[in-house]
Amino acid sequence: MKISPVRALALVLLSMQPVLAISAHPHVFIDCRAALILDGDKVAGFHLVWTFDEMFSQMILADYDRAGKGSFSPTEAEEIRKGAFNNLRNYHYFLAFYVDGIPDKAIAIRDFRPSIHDGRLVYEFTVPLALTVPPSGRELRVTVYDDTYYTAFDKMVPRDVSVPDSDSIATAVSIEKTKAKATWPGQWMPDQIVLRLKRK
Amino acid sequence: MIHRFFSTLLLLTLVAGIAWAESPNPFTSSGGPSALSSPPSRGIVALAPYLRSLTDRLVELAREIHDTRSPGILVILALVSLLYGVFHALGPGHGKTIVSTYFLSRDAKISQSLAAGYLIALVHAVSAITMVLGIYYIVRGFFSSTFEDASRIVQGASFAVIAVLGAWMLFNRIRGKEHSHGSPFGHRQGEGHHHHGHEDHEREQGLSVRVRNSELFGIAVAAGLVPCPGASAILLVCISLGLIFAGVLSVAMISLGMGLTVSTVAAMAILAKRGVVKVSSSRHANLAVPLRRGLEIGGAALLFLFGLVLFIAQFLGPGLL
Repeated sequence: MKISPVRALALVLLSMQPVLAISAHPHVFIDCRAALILDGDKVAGFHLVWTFDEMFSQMILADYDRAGKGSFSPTEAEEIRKGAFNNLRNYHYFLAFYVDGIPDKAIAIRDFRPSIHDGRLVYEFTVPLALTVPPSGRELRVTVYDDTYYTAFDKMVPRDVSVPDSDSIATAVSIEKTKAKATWPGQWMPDQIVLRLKRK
Repeated sequence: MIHRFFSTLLLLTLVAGIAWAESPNPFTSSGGPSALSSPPSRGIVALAPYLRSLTDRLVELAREIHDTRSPGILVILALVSLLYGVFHALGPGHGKTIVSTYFLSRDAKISQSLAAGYLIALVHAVSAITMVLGIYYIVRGFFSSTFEDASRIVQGASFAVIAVLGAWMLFNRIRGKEHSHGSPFGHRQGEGHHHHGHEDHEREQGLSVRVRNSELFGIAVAAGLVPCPGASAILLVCISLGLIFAGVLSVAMISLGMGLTVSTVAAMAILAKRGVVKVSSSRHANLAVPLRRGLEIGGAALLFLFGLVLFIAQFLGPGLL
């Protein structure tokens, strides 16, 4: 006796479902913009601007902009930092830095500033870096990615990353696939921001 | 050959399918990622833009209803909510995996997959509405972080329900085996209690333990108890605009959509199991009984073990796993 096509199809679809389902589905969506900060011939930091989707924005605004005035007072900004940002340290702020291929794990955050633009919640902050650029050049790769996928970052293009004009450093920006291998077949790998720095 | 492939696939599905847990919100929860969270699959990433435009649309519609009070837009909100429910439930959790594990270990009718799906959807809706309104009007304070804290506690409770349910199923299975009149195999068409010839009936019907209403209820509670963060967020947006009716309607429609997805997955589990059992009993009668017992005992044991482990991990912290 042969298995009926409908039942076989049901089984195959069912067995694919865990592959889809084991990974989380996103509840928060972010448009990410980034900027390289140079200080003379050194890389001084990486600035990030996260614009949230309508739903998450509304949830946070309902909590922290109760008067509905469309902006945050310094007290409210501090409350947001405590209640809806600081916990990201447990997630490395969704950031991973690689300097010439070597992971830089110590991520510190400076100048966190929440704001509201066109009804959307915006987080801005800076990750201080202190990188020299040797004559041979330097490659800085940055992954912006929530490993649990509760948060989904929109796909980035090179113009989302701004680079300052500099007399001493030339920077080429590209968005490339992460080099690391997937841990299981079918796993999605995030893109990386790739900054190739050269002395002029 | 082909039946062996399908049997193996079914058993693998049983094991892989159970590993689910709703991840905490990284922004508003306290603590690190769930021990069981894992990177996304390409399928989910492909789905993400649609989920995003649906959530954005839901918020826009809520604002329009607030501004215009138009019943037409309320209808659109209801339809978009339904669609959101269908898509949203394709992600993890929402009871699909637990319900398919249950139905793989039971002999069920297709109509029971609908009952299970909609029972879960009902619990899901009631849970979201109770929690959101409770926190908004009674607890007050910061909604987003209170909601996360409460969700973690409810999730712990749902893991406990899964463990108890698994233990109960195992207990019944073992007890049923000890007393043959306890009928671990279903007897349809008015058959009496045979002590001989079980295998003939099994071969014909592919039957094993039937679905119990008490178990279905347990599954629905375990699977639906943790409120959906998406449905809860849209309800919050609506009530913060003073639109309680629209919010409750939206949650109800989201649950209706989720029920559709969950029922479909449950029906696939029932069909898949029937196919495998039928084929293996026709080819190898001696394999059919162990396969079915494996599914029954394995399903119950998995529910028990994962419920227990997840429950312990929930309260002792993710560092444990």
